[in-house]
Amino acid sequence: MNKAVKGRRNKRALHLQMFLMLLPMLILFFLFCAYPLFYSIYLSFTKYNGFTDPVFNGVDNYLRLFRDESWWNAVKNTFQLTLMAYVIQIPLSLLLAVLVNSKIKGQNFFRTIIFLPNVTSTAIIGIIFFFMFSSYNGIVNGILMQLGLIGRPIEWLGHTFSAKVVIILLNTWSQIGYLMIMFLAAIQKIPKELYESATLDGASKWQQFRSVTLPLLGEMFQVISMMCILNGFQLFDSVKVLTGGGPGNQTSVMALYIYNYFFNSTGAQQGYASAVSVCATFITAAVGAVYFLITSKKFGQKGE
Amino acid sequence: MKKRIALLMALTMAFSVTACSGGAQTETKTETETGKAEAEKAGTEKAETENGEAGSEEKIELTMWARASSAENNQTITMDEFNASQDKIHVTVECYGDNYEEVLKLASQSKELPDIFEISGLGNPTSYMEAGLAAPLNDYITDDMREEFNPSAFTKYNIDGQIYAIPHQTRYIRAYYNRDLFEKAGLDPDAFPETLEGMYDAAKAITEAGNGEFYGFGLPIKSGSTWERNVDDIAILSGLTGPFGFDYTQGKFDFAKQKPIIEYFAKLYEEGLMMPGAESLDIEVIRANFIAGKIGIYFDGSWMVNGYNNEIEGGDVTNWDVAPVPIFEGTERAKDYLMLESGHCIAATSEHPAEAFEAINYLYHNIYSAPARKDASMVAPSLSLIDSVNAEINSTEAVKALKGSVGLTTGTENLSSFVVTPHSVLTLEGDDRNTVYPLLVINSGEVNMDEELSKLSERYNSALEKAVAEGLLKQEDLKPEGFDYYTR
Repeated sequence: MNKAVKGRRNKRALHLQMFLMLLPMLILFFLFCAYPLFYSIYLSFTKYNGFTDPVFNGVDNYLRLFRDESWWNAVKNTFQLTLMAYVIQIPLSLLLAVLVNSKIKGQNFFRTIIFLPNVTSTAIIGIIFFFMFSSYNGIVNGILMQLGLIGRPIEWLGHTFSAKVVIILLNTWSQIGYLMIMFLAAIQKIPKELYESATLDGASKWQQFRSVTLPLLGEMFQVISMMCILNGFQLFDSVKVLTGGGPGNQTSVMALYIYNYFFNSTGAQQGYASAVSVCATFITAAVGAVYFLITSKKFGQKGE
Repeated sequence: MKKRIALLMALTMAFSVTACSGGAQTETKTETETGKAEAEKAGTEKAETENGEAGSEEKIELTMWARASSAENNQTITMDEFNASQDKIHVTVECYGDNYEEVLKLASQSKELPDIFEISGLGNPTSYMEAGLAAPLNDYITDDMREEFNPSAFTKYNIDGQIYAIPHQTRYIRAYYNRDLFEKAGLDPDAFPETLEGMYDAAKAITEAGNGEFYGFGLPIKSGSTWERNVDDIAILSGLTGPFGFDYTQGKFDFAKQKPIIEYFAKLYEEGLMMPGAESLDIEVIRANFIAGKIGIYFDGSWMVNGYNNEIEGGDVTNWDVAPVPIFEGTERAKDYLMLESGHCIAATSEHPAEAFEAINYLYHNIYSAPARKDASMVAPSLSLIDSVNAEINSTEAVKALKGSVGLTTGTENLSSFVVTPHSVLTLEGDDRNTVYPLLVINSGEVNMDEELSKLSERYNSALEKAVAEGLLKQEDLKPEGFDYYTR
């Protein structure tokens, strides 16, 4: 009897101890994650400029959102850039992973070199790319003019299409190393015996890649793809530094659009920005959900 | 026992985490050298006065808050001079830099405002006046003062006939040009073109002479204020619209009226007469390139004459000059655009409003001349709202010898401000003017300019209607009776 009571007490003390251990983290989580999240949902139903008190205005912000052409243009741009990034980055990083996994000289050197841009801050890469592609005194224009390919500097960041190409280029350069490392880890998990027996059966390298590597990447492929897509939806710093969304919001993306309304130095509209960010959250979540629905069926069956 | 210790430690940890946030309240402020000691002294003196122990000879201590970032600025220098000039009042200036508005907001919530506070850098200065935090100055403004000051001085912060502040910062736009590049292009540097057509020819000649080394015109498209500096200024001088495409003769926004000016800049851009990369250059880069001799002409604010002469490295080496902004051939020149900013309010809670006004009045009379008296090298051509002060400063040999002072002081009698600038209080839905105009200049061939401008006017006008309905603007202010851009 006594033992049981003591045991229960001990258990309770243990629970309390665990709870207290978690407390600092929980406090920080509620302070910096949960509270701002719910507060921005609240703000999305108000008219608020960050200065005067928020005034409740029902669903006005959401109604305005659906009429806001610039916002949907930013959404379109986000999808466009994400898709372009995905189509380029996934095959390229997989290819690089296969290459640096094969027995070549200086394997580690290549791995490091390719991964290196990922360690650099995107904002700094953005500034470097900005200088490279700036129309006056830019390195790229300088080279092209030296080669005699162009007579007048090209305004890379002044035109919608070329600006988007530069954004994709930057994004690919900085992300590809990370995706490659993920693929590399996944490839190295595949048992070597499979390749050995495939070689014995006379399968070529391409056949091995198609019939062994690709199918066995399975769930890892799904996760890496998802990361690539979500990375596209979070696109912000590179666009901010390179074009600032310009010319005329033509290269704006979701995160930048929200930022511009939230931190506009002359007349911020934080209520509206909150509504837009709630909408952006739903769009991103929906894309993630749809992707998982489609792919999990496919990968799920193979896994069984 | 061990468990208890663990528990205790966990608790301490949790507390220390939460405690950090409360204790880390930082306040960055700089004060004049003697500021802090003075303030402490003031506290004791005040206490003494209240106890009735001190005689009537005690100085009246006033506190003034300013937005400036450095403790040594025109306001502190002028107030130091004021303190030394008489022995009745002593003003302590406290400068708060970037945190100014936060500090002021906190102080106004807790009703602890200083006797005098500057309204520079505040998001919405009139909100402080409407909230009753500032005292009206009407009783202190004498008829003599009204004659002495430019009439614009009493209209900027006038709410229902009550004047809450007098602006002391005046800004206007001028064309800055490089005399050496004019000569290299075979142009006369003493005759800056008076028409936009003439400026186009000059930009073309300079670009051709530069052959990729330097260019005719600089337009910092990335800076939001570019359009106010370039397009609006020409529109106002041409009698087309006010700032931000607002037309006071119609009482609404009409961006279509600015179309010829946008087309003019689009042409300069398309023909490569602008420094390349205009779409991603901001004003600081343009200034640096102007001083480096890469740009022939650009538009900038009056304050840059002081900036180049006294602050920016190389500004004294480059052979630059200043001229009034040109307008299209055959148009009559309307009044020039005078921007008024800043100013000082007396807190409604101040116990010595009359003395505070005396200090402000001294400030307005001396804010340009006091710094020059302290350090002769800091002399700058200025535009005070008091004509006699301008005449006095601008007639000195030191000012006359300064670069750009002739162009800067030419035609200042033509300057006039707009009482209401509606764009600043609007909550706009959709892209604003600063987002749309770059597209019209850079991609002029690909966009339908008429359509974009009419959509822009629509957006601004619908926001305008809402602002009027909410009482932020008054209909009669938007369309003043008998308004005329030439006589306003």
